[in-house]
Amino acid sequence: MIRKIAWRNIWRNRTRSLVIIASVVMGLWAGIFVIALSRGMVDQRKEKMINEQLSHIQLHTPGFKEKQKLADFIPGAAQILDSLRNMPGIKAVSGRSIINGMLSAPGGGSGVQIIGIDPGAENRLTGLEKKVVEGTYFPDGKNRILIGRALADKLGLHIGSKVVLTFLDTSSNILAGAFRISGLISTGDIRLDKVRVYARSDELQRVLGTSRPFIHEIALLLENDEEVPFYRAQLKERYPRLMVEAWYDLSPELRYLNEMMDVFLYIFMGIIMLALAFGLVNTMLMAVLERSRELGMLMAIGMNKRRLFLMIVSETVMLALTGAVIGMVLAYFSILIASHRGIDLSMVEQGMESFGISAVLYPSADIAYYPGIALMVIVFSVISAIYPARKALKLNPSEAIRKI
Amino acid sequence: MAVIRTVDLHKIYDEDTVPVHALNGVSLAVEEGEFTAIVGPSGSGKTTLLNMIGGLDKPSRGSVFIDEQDITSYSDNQLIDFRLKHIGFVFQAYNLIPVLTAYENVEFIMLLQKRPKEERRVRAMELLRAVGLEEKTEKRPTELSGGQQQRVAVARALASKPRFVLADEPTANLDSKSTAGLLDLMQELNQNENATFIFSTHDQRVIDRARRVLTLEDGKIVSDETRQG
Repeated sequence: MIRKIAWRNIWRNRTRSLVIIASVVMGLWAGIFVIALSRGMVDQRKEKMINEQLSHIQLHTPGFKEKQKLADFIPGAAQILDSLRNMPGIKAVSGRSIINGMLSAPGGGSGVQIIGIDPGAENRLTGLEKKVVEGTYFPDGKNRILIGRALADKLGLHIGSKVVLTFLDTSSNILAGAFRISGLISTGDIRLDKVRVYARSDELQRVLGTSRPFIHEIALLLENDEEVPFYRAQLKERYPRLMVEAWYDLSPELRYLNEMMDVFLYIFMGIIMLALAFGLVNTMLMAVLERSRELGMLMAIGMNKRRLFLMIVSETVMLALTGAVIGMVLAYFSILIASHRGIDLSMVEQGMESFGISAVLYPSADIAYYPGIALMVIVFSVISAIYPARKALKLNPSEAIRKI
Repeated sequence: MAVIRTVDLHKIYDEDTVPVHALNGVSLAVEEGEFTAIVGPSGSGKTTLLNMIGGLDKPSRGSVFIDEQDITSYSDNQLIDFRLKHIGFVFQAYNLIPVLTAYENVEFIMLLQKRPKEERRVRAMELLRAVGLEEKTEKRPTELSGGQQQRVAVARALASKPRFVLADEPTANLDSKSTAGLLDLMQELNQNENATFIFSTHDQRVIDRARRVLTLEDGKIVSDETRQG
């Protein structure tokens, strides 16, 4: 009966209740949607980073990442690559030569990172071919390279332009090779597009004058990204002399960002709920003051303080939860629609791409968030009910009944 | 033996500013089953006395004994429990719960007493029938006339099977017909349920029906008249 009275009391002043319910709806909807947008942004960035740059796991020789020396290649890389290709649960593997050098062209020169790849394997791993925005992905013919569009724009290069790649061999001799640009790529990360040059690894070997594959990095993608820790441990055991690192070792800030999102969700929702709590306190305080005669009567006929407190708390919780349920349903469906259609922010595309985020955002909110948010609403509404309820409990029944 | 006894009851409002002596040493004894009216001019202390007897307010001095238990020493929660178990209130302004129907208003007090559902239903229907509102059980207070609301209030007051019914000017807002009907009802319930009724009233129609009339003036009992019924 207390719940029934509390529920009906909410609708006694319909306008006032609808106003507070609407603010809870809007607060929660906006809060969850912004969180979902941020979560989507982080997820997209993580997915993009894993699928296009980091992969799930990378193998290097110890020390390569610090100095990036040509001589720090992975011994027996060809056998390791074969073995990994045959390992169940691994979707794609690619070996890369990574050489820091110089790209020279008639329009000027620029420091670059030359990535020697097997075009087929790399495409399976990172979908590099899809990033070709102009030209062709390693067509037939010798010494073809791909460069970032940003680099091409900077040096005034175009498809078919001849460039010279210069770098040092293991004995610090300067080596150079002439290459022709077959394609321009746009990875979505302008920073990378300004420095990356992709060439066939066998053609780089020719420039180096060696038949040994200079593989500095082996990157692999798993069928299931939840198995990363397991494969990381397995590969560490199998290749104890190599550095085996998962994406979260390679990019701790990405891992941190990923983990922070959950904390951020609750902090952000907490701030919204705190603001809404003031509205709830105000509404319930008005309700208590307006109904003091009735509350006095309830105490007079035998409703004890515990029940009276419970009634006011129930009323507050119901008021907030009504708004919360509508807000969460609204958020769920608007996120569902936006996650399929995407939110096009191409107006600020360049700025976003420089952070490695696509211009179309896909919000994402785990369904597991909703019970947590509902619990927060309940906790905040109970807290909001305390002050008005205390006011009610302090009423003197005989005085309250006489109030007009 | 007296079931209600007040001893040298004083109530002073605004003691710190301008003291108002609402009760000035009231001592009285009420027997079980009495049908008593407390009369007197406005401000004579009628409502204050009823509030003291009902445990709604505490005296500045003096004691109220119910069955020889001094209720003035009770805590707030003990008083609420005492009222729930022993007292039925009828207020001048009806004071029904506006969001509940007539039936639910009567049932509510039994819910507080944790009575079984079937017992609640039978008792509520029996009382609503007794007050002539069996056709209005699903109506909310706003859909009832003043007289009908006061009948629901009487039914509610009796629902908990109280030993005492305290009614503060119950007929003040009622027309003659409703007043007569309500008084018939209360007299009948007084006889059938053996509940002790104490009214505060100005209404001569109520005074005429009372078997005992206590007159208060300036917070003191100035006359105590018992009539043969």
